[in-house]
Amino acid sequence: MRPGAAAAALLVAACGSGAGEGRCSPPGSLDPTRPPARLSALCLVRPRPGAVDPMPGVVPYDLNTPLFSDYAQKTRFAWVPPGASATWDARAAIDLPAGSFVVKTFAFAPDMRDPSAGRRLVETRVLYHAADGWRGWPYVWDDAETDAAFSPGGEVRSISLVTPAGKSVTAAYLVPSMGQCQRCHADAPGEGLHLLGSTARNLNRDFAFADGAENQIARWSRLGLLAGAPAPAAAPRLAAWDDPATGTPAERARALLEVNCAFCHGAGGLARSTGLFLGTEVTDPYALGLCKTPVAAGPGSGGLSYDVVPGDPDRSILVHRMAATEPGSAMPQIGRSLVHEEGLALVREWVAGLTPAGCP
Amino acid sequence: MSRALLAIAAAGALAACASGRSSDPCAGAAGTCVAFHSGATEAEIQAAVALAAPGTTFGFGAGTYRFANSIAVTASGVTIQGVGGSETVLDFEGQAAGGEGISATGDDFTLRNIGIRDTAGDGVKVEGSTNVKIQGVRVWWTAADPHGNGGYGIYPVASANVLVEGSFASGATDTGIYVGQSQNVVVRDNEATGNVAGIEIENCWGADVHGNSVHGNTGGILVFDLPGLPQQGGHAVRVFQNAVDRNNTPSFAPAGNIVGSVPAGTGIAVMANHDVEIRDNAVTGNQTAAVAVISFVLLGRPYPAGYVPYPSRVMIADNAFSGNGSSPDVTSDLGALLAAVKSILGTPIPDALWDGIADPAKAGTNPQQICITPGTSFLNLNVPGSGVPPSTSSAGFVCTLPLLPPVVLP
Repeated sequence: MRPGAAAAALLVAACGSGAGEGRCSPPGSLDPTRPPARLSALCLVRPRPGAVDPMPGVVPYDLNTPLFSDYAQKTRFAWVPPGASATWDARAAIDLPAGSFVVKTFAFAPDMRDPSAGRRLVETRVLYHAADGWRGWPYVWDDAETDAAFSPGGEVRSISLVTPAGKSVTAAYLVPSMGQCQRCHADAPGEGLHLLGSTARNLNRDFAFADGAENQIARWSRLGLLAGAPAPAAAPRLAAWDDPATGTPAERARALLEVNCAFCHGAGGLARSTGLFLGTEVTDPYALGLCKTPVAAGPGSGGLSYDVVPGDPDRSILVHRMAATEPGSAMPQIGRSLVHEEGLALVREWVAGLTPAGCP
Repeated sequence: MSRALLAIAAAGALAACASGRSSDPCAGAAGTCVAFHSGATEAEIQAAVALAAPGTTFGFGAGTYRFANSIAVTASGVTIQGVGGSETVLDFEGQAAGGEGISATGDDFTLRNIGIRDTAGDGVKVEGSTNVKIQGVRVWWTAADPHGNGGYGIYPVASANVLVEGSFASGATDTGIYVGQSQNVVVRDNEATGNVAGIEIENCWGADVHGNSVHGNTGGILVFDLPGLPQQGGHAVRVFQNAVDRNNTPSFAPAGNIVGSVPAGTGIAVMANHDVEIRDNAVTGNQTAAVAVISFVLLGRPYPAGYVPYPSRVMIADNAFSGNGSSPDVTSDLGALLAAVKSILGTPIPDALWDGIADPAKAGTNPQQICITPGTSFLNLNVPGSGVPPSTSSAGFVCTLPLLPPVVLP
């Protein structure tokens, strides 16, 4: 078979519904081996220049602390089939029921200090809960921003922008390939995908819905999307990394590390073989990297001896790798080509504030 | 011909493996094969691999294929093959994204007869896979200054039933062929040169390393166990019939990496593993030491409870040693110590050395059961600082351990 022929065959078969204006609703079930060629067929998002709005029944949400993606602006939606609901989980990501979709749309403005001016849609990542597990599908927006095309191979795109701090930079922005979805969303290598952002603690915040502000857990419960949840005040809450009112610098840094690192540096993550674990539940100092020697960092160590040297960010590999941009040294390994300067400053503050232990 | 010399002959035969291959990129493929020919774009290759059905073979014809992003293989049963390690080259010089050239996480992954050049990080990393075959693969970096090269060339980790054979790795800032935290491993008939470490077996349970030509690295073959990892307690490792020659390249490992502790001129080093056989190897011209058996304690780094830092039951038997230990690398702590010992001894460093750091719970002359065969010269460094000077007496160390079972791949 010619290269690409298989992909083309899939695309043709998947077309046929949804494009164009009018009433539609997300498919309750879908052949997971045949992702639609056009995003519009899923009837989840309605594009307007530089932004997407949720279709009726699709719920927008936000997170206390998000993954950093080269300063992209992200819009998150969830859709749960009518009559179905997710089951409360205080610790792991809340798993939406079969038939659900989670979609995240990435957009950039030329100057992120004024992100609504001249903003462009780049990609929308779709997670679909098929009967046999979650699938990840990348879609890349057309130049006209009226629809997005299924793009399983991903791409690296050069995007110039001014950061929120006023620095002019050019990102080698990665639209991940379908295989790369699994790098972060896999339970264990070779297994299916799972959701990452939808932990109770990360969802536990207010959102400015069209009909007014409401706590997301309360709203999901009220709409019947979520069953068994306690009142938001009784639910765990992750610090918002950039809001000092929500936690100490240490709490906010740990929140940032959890969201940006623990999908790999967690018990089931791809980087579990390093023995470095960065979830907020980790209390063992060695597992958290304190005076821990790297295993297979290679040049990523930056010539430093320990993952975290308490009190000394300049000697900590963790800080070095957050500040690195070369693929192979930069962490996370994919999804970031720019330095998250503000997040880096927060992690530096956390490391500097750790009681010096004097690693040997 | 001695068995040790056979090792050299076997390594010399490696070059012959390149002949007799088909120019059909789908040659030998069982099941669906998607062929790519020179000129195929990254976009079409990435899309096809991303959509791969289990069991698909991707065959690349002769030519160079350039990539800006790493290739993530997640389906099971995928084979990626070329028509030769030098004829089909995946070129990552312009890589902008991804920590390795190829990353594979599906079971039954095969990579064969293909070259991988100038990756930003590791060449090929296979993680959490059962049944891994890397055959006839070349991984190398072309930069004049190797300090910016990736850490690992061929890098299966946390996997089971791993075969790396007839492959070549050069230029890695950590290790050319590195198998970590895996079970049931065979590394045979490969060539590793110009890396910091040639071949490393780390935290593995059951590994056979044989018939390899390991030369011109900083250290030749390392059998290490490190603390704080999901799989530790490395054991049942057999290193036999390898040619380990002149691994004297000054280290270009980034500081902080464990491999940076390895002195230039190390032939074979065993750290903190138990049940290891070093047998029938030709170990020649390594300037610091031919075979070193050491404890993690020697590195002076912290380790968590539950980790056993001492090597035990290490059999060093019937190797051919010559020209080793003549000029220990004084730029490393261990090498400097050995240089001092050498000047006291007035002879090159003996064939096999043990650091002398024993588990405090054990007693006796040879509490860790480090064994050599007669004719092997020996050095006990007596490092613990008990005031006992280094000793070249082999009394108590000439002994025999039961043979370890061979690794059997399914």
